[in-house]
Amino acid sequence: MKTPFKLPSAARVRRFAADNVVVLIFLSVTAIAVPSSNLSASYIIQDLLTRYGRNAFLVFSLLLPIMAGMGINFGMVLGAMAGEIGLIFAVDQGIAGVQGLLYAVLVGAPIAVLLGWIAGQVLNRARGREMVTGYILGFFMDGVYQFVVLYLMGAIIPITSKAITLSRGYGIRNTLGLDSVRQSLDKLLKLELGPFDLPMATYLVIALLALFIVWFRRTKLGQDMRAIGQDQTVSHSAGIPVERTRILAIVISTLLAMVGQIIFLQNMGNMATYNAHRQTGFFAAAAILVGGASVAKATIPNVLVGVGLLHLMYIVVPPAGARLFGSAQIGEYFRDAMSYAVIALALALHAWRKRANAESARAGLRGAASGAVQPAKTEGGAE
Amino acid sequence: MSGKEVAGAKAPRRIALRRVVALALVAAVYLGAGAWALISGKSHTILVDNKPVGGLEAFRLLEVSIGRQEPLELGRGERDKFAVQGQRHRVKIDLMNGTDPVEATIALPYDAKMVLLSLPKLVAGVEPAWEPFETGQDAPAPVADELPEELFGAAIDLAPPEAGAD
Repeated sequence: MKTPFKLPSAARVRRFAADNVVVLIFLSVTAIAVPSSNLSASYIIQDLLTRYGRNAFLVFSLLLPIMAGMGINFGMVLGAMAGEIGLIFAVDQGIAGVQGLLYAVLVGAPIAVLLGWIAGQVLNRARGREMVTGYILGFFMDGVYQFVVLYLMGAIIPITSKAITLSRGYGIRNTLGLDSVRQSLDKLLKLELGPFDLPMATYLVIALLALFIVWFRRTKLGQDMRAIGQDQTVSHSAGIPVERTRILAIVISTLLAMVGQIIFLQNMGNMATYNAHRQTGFFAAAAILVGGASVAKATIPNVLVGVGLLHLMYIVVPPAGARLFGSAQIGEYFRDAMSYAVIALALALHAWRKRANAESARAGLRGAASGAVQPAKTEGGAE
Repeated sequence: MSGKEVAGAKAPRRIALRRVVALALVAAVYLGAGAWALISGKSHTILVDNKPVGGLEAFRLLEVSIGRQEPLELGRGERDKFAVQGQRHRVKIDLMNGTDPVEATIALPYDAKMVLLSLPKLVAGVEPAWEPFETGQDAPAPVADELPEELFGAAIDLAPPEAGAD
């Protein structure tokens, strides 16, 4: 009987380290920062639990485009803008509580679908450059959003509440108080477990989304997305409508980002009208990459691990900076720099693996290195 | 034409019909959820008022609650507020004199942001016991951070152009 080929243990360790370098760097930094922060375990855990409820939904919205081979959907800020427009209308109409959130979702949904469809069309024309195109598309739509919210709302789009309108009579104020919907989902089903408050309704919504993604992967559309993520040419030959499926992946992602932004903002309790969405894609991308995902492969555990690790760092690094350097601001700068570094490292690793795989494939074709060349880990969004 | 061919011709029509039904269901759920959110989520402020009105005396001390909210204690001439959602509310007034609490249901108009509910009127059964309450206050004066500091990456200068400049 043929025994399966096994790598020597040193090579296996090296391979594991290479595959998880982002997670390992992050773990090391956080492990140093936790004791230096001098924060109690219960404080850190409570803050982490709150941040899971606040951010996990947004990060989940990145899964489907990665599965469809479109990389990280930096265009998710379009969904975040739709969610913010929904919240502006909910506050203006005086719709409070969970109903206010539902109303915001209902108002934001058609806007998110439209923006997602536009983004999908654009990304189909920028094949192979989806991430940078999505990023720039986000900046472009930010301008459109500012024009609509700052000039059209109250002038052409009816806004009745003077409390949210600028004193000149049109445009929305810079900061919008979300008192009417503040933590209404978090407080809907609150569970006190010892010293910890668990927002069970928010967790339930996130769990439902995770179940939806598990179910969706098994559907015909989900299988099509996975196939497209593996190879677009082969998928097209197999009769899969590649362009339409890619657009659907972006539409669903934008829709989920819209809901995620509403969940995020209801937890925060106020909204920076013109800035709240700008960093959404960046934080979500950093979280999923820290969790061990790559731009070509992401799973639900990547989301859960990533949100935990990223936010653990966000909690402990500023106080650690304050204690070690006498300034919390250094910690703030450091955590931002780390988050950007993670994204850059993940993108560089992805490019390196792609090149290594191509080189190994070429070597295999030449027959020059049969058995000697170990291909870099193959990435594919099908997991 | 064979029976199979007829069934084959009907299949796309059946799929189209199913699609129409599914779309109609989605639209109905969307509109239904929107209507429910609009009606049951609409917020109102009810000012509960224990002051003499129209020949009715104010109560010495009472406890008033609306819906499942925590009761508020009001002395003579005092006023407080409840933030509520929806238009129909059960008001419970305990006069704290050993008598049974008075319970009444009030229905508010959809567009009433704030109403003044007179408790002496409500206990005496005067209809309606509430009246719209206008604060008469405009939106707060603009503050420095009211506007975004920059737009499209450039600083905003909203001041009107200087008159007389060539």
